[in-house]
Amino acid sequence: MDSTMFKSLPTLTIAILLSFMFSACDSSTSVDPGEDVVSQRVLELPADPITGFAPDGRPIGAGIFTYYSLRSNEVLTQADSSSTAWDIAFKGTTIIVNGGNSGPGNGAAQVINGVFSDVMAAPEGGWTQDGENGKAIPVGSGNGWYNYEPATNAITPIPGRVLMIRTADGRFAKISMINYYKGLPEVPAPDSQSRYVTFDYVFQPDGSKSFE
Amino acid sequence: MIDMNDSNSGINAEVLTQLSRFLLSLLLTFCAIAPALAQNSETGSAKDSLWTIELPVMVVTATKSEISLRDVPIPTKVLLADQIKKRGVLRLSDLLAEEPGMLQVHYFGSGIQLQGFDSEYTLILIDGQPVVGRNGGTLDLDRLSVSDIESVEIVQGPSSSLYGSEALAGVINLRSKRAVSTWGADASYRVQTNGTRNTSFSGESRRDWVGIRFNYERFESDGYDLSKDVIGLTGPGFTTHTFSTRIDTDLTPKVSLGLTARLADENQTNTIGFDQSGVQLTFDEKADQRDWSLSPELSWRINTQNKVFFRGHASEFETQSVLVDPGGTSTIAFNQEYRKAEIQHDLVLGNSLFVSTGGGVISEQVRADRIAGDSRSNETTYAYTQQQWFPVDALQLTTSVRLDNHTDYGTWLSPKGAVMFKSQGSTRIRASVGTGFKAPSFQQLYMDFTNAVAGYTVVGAADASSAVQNLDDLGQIQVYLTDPTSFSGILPESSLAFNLSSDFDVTSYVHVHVGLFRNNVKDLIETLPVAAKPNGQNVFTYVNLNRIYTQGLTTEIRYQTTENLSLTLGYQLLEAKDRNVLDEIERGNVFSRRNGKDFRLDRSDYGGLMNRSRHSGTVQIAYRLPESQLDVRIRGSMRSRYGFGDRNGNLILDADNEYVAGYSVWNATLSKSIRSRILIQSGINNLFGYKNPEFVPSLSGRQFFTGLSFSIN
Repeated sequence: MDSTMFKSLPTLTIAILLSFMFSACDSSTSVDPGEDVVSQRVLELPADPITGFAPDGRPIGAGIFTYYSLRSNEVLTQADSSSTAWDIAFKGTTIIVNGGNSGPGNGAAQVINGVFSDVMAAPEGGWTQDGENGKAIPVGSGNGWYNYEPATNAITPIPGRVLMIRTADGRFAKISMINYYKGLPEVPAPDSQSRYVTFDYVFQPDGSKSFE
Repeated sequence: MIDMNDSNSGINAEVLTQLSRFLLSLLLTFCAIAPALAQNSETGSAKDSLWTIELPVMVVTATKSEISLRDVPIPTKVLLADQIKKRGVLRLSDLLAEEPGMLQVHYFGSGIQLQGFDSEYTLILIDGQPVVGRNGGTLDLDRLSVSDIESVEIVQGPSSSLYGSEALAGVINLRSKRAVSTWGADASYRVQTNGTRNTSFSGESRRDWVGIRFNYERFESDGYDLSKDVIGLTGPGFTTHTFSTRIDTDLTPKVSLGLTARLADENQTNTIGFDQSGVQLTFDEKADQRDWSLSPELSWRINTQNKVFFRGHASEFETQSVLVDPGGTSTIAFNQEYRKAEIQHDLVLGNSLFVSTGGGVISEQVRADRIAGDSRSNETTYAYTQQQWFPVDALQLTTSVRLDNHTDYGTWLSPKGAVMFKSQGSTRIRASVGTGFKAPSFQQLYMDFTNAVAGYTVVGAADASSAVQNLDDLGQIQVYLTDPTSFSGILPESSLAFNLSSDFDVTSYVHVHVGLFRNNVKDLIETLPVAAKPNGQNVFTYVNLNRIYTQGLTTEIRYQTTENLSLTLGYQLLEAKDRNVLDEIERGNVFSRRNGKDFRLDRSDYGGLMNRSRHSGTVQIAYRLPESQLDVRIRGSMRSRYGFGDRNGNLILDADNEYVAGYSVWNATLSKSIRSRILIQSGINNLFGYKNPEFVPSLSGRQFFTGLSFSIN
């Protein structure tokens, strides 16, 4: 075997980790062509989880969105909901982006078909914002990112659906929804806790549409 | 709740499959050696009625006129009373499940899947008149007793050209018994596992010009429980009463009048409930169902060429479901009325043409608690004509066409053509091209049904938008699964079907039937979940699912090894696929996910429509010992794996964990008659005790039964 490979591997790993850390900590909204793309998994983000049950059996949630910044890879507070700090927000199966009638930012989105890792660039056109006629990421089974299976009552991400996101400050990201339940069950059990979203995303900090 | 990889059931299924294979190979070996055993007992035509093809059986369903089974141009299968009795089968659903190409399916009741179609595409008739009362599209065949019928006729492929709506996959006609003896009476009693009991009485009398027969049957069960940790029974207990009568009189030598009447009543009770954060909530549920029908028929033989029939039919079906919970009592009621008047003229022209022409009016009404205005009604006016040509002995042509004019759907034309070639011997080749249609039912249009037990809601297509909005206003929508503004009008479903079959004797012991079918269906109506309710159940409505096809091969080999032993093997190969899904796959728009990685599907990954088994088969063994008057019937039915539901988010059947493992069910019945007056019967249903509470809750495991019947005449 080539011994140089073993030597260079730790160095490479450190370099990748450093670039991840820097980009993850970067909260600036300016375009910096020198930065590398950010690849993250967000695990079990609460999306208005069920807090209890009404006497008639209906589950009760707080009815609030969880606001997330793709740029800084962090959950924001409810106080940030009217700012341009957040890019995307989750409530149950509903996803909104910071723009249109959902927020003050320049955010937009679209859903495309494809294999997540094969999507190398954000599309030129086709961007829509949340509005009166619906969300940029359509709600409802089969319309946006998930399907609902009546036989098992399961909410499952649709394979091959990639959520293209324009952040509040006009940069681009792609998202692959992974799971809707705690513990990431492949097939949820009746006692699986729903409304915990897990997703992978790639964010391009340099302002270009490329994810390479 | 759902665990496909449960090791126990997996092993059981495997053992069963191996057992089935073993039994099959045993039977096949037996087939191979039996001719040697049988060669000294050449008997000519068999006496056992299992060999229906050998008997001069007359059938009516395929052509709406009496014709011998051997000469009917449309493939027809007949199950006769004697055969049904010896199998010890009580309900129509159980009888049909033992036939090849007919799979028992459960969706709001027991139905039969025919040519890959759900049960709602098969028209069910009693003495030629439709049975009404479908729930979720299924006409529950457990409602229909087969203990007092003369025969069951099964016609596969569309017959809309004679019967109109619903006769898309096929037609099943129950012909009730007529009085034949001066005085006669039967009484029978049977007990079975799960506290299931069946009691029946019948009596008949025939004089020169009038015959009357009546039957009463009480069928009850304590129910069964497959999942002890779930509150309530898996199969609730019930009591069913059925009363039927048939009167026929010859008013003059040329005019005869017949009357068939039926009244059935079912009461079902259960306690249901669920565990909510450690607190058990239970409810008492009571479901009542009642239906009656009255069918007079007057036939007038004007002369040797002309015969006229006047037929009337009135029927009503009603259900009431009462749920008692801590908050009070809620009742859901449904009532459907059906009235029909029809006239048919049969004309014989020379030796080579037989023409039937008819027409009529159907008026239907539905009343239900939550239908807007409480009641809806519509009317169908129709006319049909059929020509049966016999140009030469070896050839027979049949053409038919029907025109339906419906209050809501306008005019619908259904043509069909069939041809039969006969050889000098027993060979018959039958080919047909026909159309079938199914108008959206009342339920599909106007239904607003919430099952208080399971908690799901079904709303008709016409009222879907408003009904879902109402639920939303009541806080009964947790999440929308389909954009509620997208609901639009609904069309009749229609099909173009091709059927080709051949019947022939390989030897005088072996009879073979081989059939091929292809159905191209468009605007197929399917239930679609449009929203999820807070209780985790769904709100469904009906939509036109554009195009599907079903195609397959059905074969049946009947083997009379000796005069006293016969064997029937049936097999069906089926493919049923959604053409829209195939198109989407072709366009590269369908993906799947495995181990967290997405990939594009190709055509070969697609398993087709849910709940269709690619392979299914049946085995029937009939053995009798004439000297001791013993009769043994062993029947097995098996099906290969079938899709249950989507698990990887693409809504189509493509992954191995989306299938229910194949299984088989075997039933055995032993009958002993004493001086043809007394019949003692014992048997085991589901001999190997196959159970699958998750996916096949309708099977309650092994059941023993024993019964006694007594007849005088």
